[in-house]
This record gives sequence, structure tokens and C-alpha cells, in this order.
Amino acid sequence: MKRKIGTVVDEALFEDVKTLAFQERRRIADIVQIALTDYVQRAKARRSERVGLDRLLEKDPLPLPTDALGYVIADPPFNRP
Amino acid sequence: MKSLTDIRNGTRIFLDTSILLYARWGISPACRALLKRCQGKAVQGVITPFTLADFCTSRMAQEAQAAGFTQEPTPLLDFAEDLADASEPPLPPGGLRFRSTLDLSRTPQIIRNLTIYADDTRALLSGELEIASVHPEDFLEALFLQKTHGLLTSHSLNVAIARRLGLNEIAAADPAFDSVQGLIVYHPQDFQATQ
Repeated sequence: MKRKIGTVVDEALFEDVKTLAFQERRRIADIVQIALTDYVQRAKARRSERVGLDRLLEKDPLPLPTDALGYVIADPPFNRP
Repeated sequence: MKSLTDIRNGTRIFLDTSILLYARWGISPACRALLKRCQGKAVQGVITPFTLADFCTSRMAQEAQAAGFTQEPTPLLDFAEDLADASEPPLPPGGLRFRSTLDLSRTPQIIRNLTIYADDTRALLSGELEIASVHPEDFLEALFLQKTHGLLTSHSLNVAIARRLGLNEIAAADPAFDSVQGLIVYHPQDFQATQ
């Protein structure tokens, strides 16, 4: 079941949406539906992530800094000019 | 030199930023084990807003680098070529120019798109670690510690706060604290080069 909603968006953004809808042969309503679904899924994924120190004990998704050991020992960020 | 494994259960101990980063980077099982002990309340880990700021800054820069937004941190000596930049006024003889080692301060749109560093910093605010408050007099003590032990700003502030709280044990990868009399420093000794 679907329901009708009304909202206000940035003019330039709406122009981009109209252009994309024309290029992709989609309805604007379909694009809004895709965008909202994506937003909700990402928000739910964030909420399901571990919190607290558990998060810090997970595998780091970021690559190790190239000079990780010296980076902290020699030059803590807060002490940099 | 004392190891992190020498920390006894029930100890209330100050955690330096390096411990948090090494645990997050996965390069020191001992740092990770210490955080697990803090999580389980076997050890009471204490940090300060300066620790949080250090951690937040490091992770922000790391995430930005990983996303390809910025250059590597530049050693101060490499600034020589910057001094020749015609867009900046010439320095007087012997003058020093201070600037950030990263360009993130000039690119707020980049920072807005980063998320991992923020979630990691929020993780430290979850209540599993004690976050000590900062008092104005901590700065006076920090200035004294800088003079007597040659400590840098954040190190001296953290030691000042630790002392006020009656903490005389600190976990740190950084050797800077070794020179502070009356402080028992525990170091990780198991760095692993790869994740």
C-alpha cells in the first residue's frame, strides 16, 4: 500500500531529480522511493553496528596509517602546531 | 619497563590516546586486551576530553586519508619548499611558520562526509570508560609539568588531571611519560606490523 506525501525540497535538487527521471525514464515518485529506502536501510545498518568499546575491538575498516607507530609516539595530533 | 599485562585487577588507570588507537588499529593484542578488561570492569579505565580530542583528530585524519582526500602528514622539515611559496609573505631570518600538517581545516565539506571517526569517538563516550572533567587549575599544573618534565601540551594536561584524581598509573605506548616521577607507566610490548 502506498500513500501520498507532500514536501518542500531545494529547487536545484528538484531540477536534478527531474533531469535524472527523464534520462532514466523513471517517475519522480520512484526516485524518491529509492532514495528514502536507501536512507532508511543505511540508518538501520548504522544502528545495528556495535556500540561502546566493542566497536573499537572490531577489525578496523580503515587501512593502517603508513607510519602508524611513529605517528602517535612522535607527534600526537593535539600537540601539532 | 612494566607491561600492560602487569596491570592488576581493580586498578583505576589513565589510558593514553596511543592505547586506544593501537587497540583500534589492531596492532597490539595487549592494548585490545586492556580495553576488554576495562569493558568488563576488571580495570577502571580513565580518559580525559584531551584524550578524546587526540583520538578524534587522529581517526578523522586517518579516514580522510583512506578516502584519498588528503596527503600524508608532512614532516616539519618538508615545509622548506612551502616557504618558497610566493603567495605567502617571506619569513624574517630564523622565523618559523606554523600551519596544520593536513589540509582538512580548509575543507569542511570533506569532514562532513566522514562517518567512521565519529562513530569510533562516540564508542568512547558509551560509559565504559570514565571521562574525567577538566578544571582550570589543571592548566597551571600542566605548565609546571611541561617545565619540569618537558612534556607536550596534551601529555602534561592528562598527567595534571590524573594527579588531581589521585591516579598514579598510566597505560601508554608513548615513552614521554617515563620521565615523570611518581608515575607508574605500563607499555604495550607486542606491536604487530600488520592488521
